[in-house]
Amino acid sequence: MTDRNQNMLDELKEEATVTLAKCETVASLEEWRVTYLGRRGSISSVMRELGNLDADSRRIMGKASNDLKTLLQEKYEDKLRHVNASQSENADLSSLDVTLPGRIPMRGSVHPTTLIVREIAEAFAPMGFRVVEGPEVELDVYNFQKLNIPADHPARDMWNSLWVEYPNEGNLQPFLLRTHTSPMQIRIMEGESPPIRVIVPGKSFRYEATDATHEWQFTQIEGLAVDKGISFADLKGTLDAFAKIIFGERRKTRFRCDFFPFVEPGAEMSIDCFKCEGQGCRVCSNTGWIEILGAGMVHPDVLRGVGYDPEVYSGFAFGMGAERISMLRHGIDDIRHFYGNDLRFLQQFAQK
Amino acid sequence: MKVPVSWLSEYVDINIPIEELSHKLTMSGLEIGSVEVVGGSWEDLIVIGKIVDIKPHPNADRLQIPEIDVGLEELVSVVCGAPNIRPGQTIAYAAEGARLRNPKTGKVEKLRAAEIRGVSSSGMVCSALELGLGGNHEGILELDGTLLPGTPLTQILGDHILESELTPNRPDCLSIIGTAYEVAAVTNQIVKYPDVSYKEDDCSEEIFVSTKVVVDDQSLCPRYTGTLVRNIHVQTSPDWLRNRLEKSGVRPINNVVDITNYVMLEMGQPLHAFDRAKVKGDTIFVRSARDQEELKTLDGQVRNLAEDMLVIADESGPIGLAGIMGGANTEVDDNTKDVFLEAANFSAANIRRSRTALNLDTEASYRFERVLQPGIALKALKRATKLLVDLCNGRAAPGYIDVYPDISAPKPITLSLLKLERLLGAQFSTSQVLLVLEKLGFEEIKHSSSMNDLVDTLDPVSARSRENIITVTAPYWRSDINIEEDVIEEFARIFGYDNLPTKKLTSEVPEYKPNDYLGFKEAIRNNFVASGLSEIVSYVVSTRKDLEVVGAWPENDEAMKLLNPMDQTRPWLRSSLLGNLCEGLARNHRFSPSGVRLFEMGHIFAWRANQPHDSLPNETEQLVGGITGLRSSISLWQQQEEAVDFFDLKGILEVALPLNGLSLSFLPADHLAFKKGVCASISVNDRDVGYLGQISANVANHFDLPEEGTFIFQINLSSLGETVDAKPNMFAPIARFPSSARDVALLADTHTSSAAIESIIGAHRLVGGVFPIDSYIGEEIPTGHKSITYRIIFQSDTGTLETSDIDKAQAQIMRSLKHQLNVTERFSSD
Repeated sequence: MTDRNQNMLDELKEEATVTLAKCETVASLEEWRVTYLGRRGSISSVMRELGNLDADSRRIMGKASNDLKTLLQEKYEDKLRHVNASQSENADLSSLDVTLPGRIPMRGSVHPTTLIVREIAEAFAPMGFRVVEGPEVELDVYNFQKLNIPADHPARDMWNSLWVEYPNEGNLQPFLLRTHTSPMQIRIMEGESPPIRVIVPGKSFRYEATDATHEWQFTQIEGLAVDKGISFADLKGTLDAFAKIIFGERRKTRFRCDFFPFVEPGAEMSIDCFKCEGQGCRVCSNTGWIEILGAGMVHPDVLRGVGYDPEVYSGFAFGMGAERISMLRHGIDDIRHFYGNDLRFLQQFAQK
Repeated sequence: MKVPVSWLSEYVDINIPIEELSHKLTMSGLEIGSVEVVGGSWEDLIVIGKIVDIKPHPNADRLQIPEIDVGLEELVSVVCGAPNIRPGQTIAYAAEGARLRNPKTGKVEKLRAAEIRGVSSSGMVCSALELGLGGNHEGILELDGTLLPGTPLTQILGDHILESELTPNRPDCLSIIGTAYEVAAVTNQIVKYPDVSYKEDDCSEEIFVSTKVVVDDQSLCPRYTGTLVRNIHVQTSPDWLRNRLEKSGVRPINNVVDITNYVMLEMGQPLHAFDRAKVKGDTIFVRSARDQEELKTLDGQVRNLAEDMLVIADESGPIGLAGIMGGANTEVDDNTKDVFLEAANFSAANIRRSRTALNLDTEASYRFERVLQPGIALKALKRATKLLVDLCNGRAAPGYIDVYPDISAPKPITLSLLKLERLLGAQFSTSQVLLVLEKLGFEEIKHSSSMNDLVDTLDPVSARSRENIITVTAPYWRSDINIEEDVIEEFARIFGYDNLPTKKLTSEVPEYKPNDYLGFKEAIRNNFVASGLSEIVSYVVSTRKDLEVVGAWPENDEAMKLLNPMDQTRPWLRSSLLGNLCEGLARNHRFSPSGVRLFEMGHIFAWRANQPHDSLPNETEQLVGGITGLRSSISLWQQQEEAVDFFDLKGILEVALPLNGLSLSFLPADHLAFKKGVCASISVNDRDVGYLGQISANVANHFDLPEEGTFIFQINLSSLGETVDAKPNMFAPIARFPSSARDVALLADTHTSSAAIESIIGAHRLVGGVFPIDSYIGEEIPTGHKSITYRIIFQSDTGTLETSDIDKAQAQIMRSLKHQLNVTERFSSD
């Protein structure tokens, strides 16, 4: 008899626990409370039936019923607190439209040329290269002559110049807008002794018709490392590391012979195309390779000119167009955007 | 230079695919920019045909029906309108479907079968023009009679033309043979040098009898060679020669001129042929032009010569511009019989100066100004003489002229393998290096003196060190190899840069030198961007008007002007960035619905007083910025349009200039770029660094900007950079006792500045801070006065302030204000 009652209580406990777990609203909880804990609820009806039992059984079952009632009451209150709490949160949320726009603080943008110069400077900084700047109006002597490009040399055609009007008896104009930032190689070496590692970003100017890939004003980044024992292997290693930092770890570099009067041997570095992985596409003109920069070992005449003994010191120099690198990085199709000062262009490049 | 592979392969075997060859050449320094395929569209549809018979067209007199053997069992017949067809001719036959150039439109079209005056015709006999081989369309192209009918034409006339993009140091590669030496080096082949021997005509008198050459200045003309070829027959060149010239982009003229051009392309040495009969006297002078001399050049233009230009002259005057272009007075024409052929070497710098001054850039001057070796001249002279003899039936007078007083023997260059290792970062053996150099035409000079050998055996150290030394002479046709490093590059480029080692830079890292100024500029950039301004970068040039309007036109002729500006309206180097800024504001204002906020950093330029020619002009950096339009755009959160004002920009400067604790102050000022009364000078630690304010009506008009609501500033960045130091900010103890705030309304003269009032209040020892919270002019305020309310923060570092302490302090402050500025409390009880 007691066993049967006990079983009934166990079933009741089981059923009540399962149904309680399913109640997620205050209303359903109230319904549950009435069903199990109410005056006409299941527990009350069990208790009413206790009168039919013998004294011992009544005592045992009475305690068990009471324990069950207490337990269910506690569970009910817990659940009620929980549901109330979550419902009040829901209530707040439902009145806040989180999809409305945020209050955007006014924010400008760094010029994309500045961004790429920063990135390139950051790539070279851990290798010990510091940034220096120089004058935009240069002397012919520094822009050309000390870089092993004498007057009347056909190599001058590589750098069509914008000359500054200066009252002068001779044919030679002494001042020009620098055609590259390479003259800073000379200024740095004249002012310091090795070891030297610098990069020189800055505006440069060429007398050239402008089109989608040519601007008469652009930003060049020149680099120079001079010390005892620097070799072409160092040049390759340094520039290969740079290319991997800027264009990704998987990039391969390729070096071919090229000519710049202030280096010997001279080189040009290409990377395999990041767009098509070297398969050939529009970005790489179907060659699989993209030219990135010119470089070479500093010419002994240049070293001698600044008073360094080329039998003791050697070094490498390199130069690249910042806008060109930026165009490749960001898929910009026309270099003239860089000097259009149009916010619709400028603000596309998030600040790093 | 355009290099037809068919021509190139006469001197070197090409044993790898063209694509691979171009790649190898490019990697080793001879960049092949493109490869043109001649006959790429012919496929196998155009073949050799032999005209067996020709039948008349039944319905047209001017058309004929040739029957052609095209290697098939049956003959084919087509309708043909060409006047020059004959039985027995070997021709190019195009079958139906072949792609040919339409001579009328110049477009490549597919050949379709057609019925021509009642006779159907499926193929055709081609002209050179239709095949895309250039030339004329006067008749069909006649081919070598030994060719087998049915052979695809590509096998006979198909070609690749390499377009090399040469760096200025490689004039030797402005020739087919020079290119052949490069091909030989990268493909392990040998160059077959063309035959330059010719038969002199023993019956003629020696050249010296009738012709002498006098060179005035050997430095301008190190070598002058010449031959005399008599009795030539001037006519059209043979097809093979014309074809080669055309493929290389040179227009055929007549056999004599064509031969000089041919040899120039072949060997890189420009030549010139004079009609000997038109040269007066027996002496040819190589001299500088005389004052007022002029010469009508071959292009028909009369050139006024300057005294530093080198000319070729006879006794009557100039007959040629040395190394640039011949004179019309001695031009070879159809009646020419005797030719004086010149192959000379001229000073590169002189040629370059003259052609620049005359604006006359020719194939010859292009080669000479890149420095040619005198050694090539005689070889080219002999080669051209041979061709004049062989192709023009000329008779070469015995002997040749060679004025070459200072024979330049090949200079030995010593290469240390240690140096090579130091420069390339890898070790190579003597034989490895010599193998590569010899392929390029270098010759090793061996030490063979027995005395030296003896010394070597006695002194092992010197013997070992000598093993690491190679002495070579550069190829006689190369003018770019003068020093050890040049030889090292030669080795490296043929060995392959990609085959050389790559390593991390391991030399000593230079001492770290922080550049505070660059850091300062970066901080400015970041701060302005955070304040809503976008960075612009403008051209460094300006119009004079732009500079004048913003009050930046330099005085005393300090303005710097470009001699050859890109844009004639903007020849001036900018002395202010304000003009560019205003242009930028205006440009963006047009499409920006709300506000525009910009800044720029850049160099400004001015001559120094009495600018010396050997030092730099004044170049400093300027920072400019400006705002126009709305403070923020209309949105859910911003319901009303509010235009920006003076204090928006001032506020930006106050937070964005990284002054590292220095004091920033503003004082009323006057400047042409700014509206009167809405302009302040900016100073940092009492040093004037710039201006801030509303744009003047002039600036607004000139740049098409709204005058009301456009505010700009300019700061001398170089000067500011010098003022600000990178010292760290010092810690100030945080107040331990509570502070009390009091709001005090003051009555001041309208001209009394808030800064003056704040400075008096702030000077009291118990004041921890003071700032205006309200300003009012109007009713209840006496005329000429304003009311400003300040919140004053009272603070002591020794204890909590009592009300009585604060009352006392406030009274003291009020006494000072009354005394110094005649400022009183607005709601004063007394």
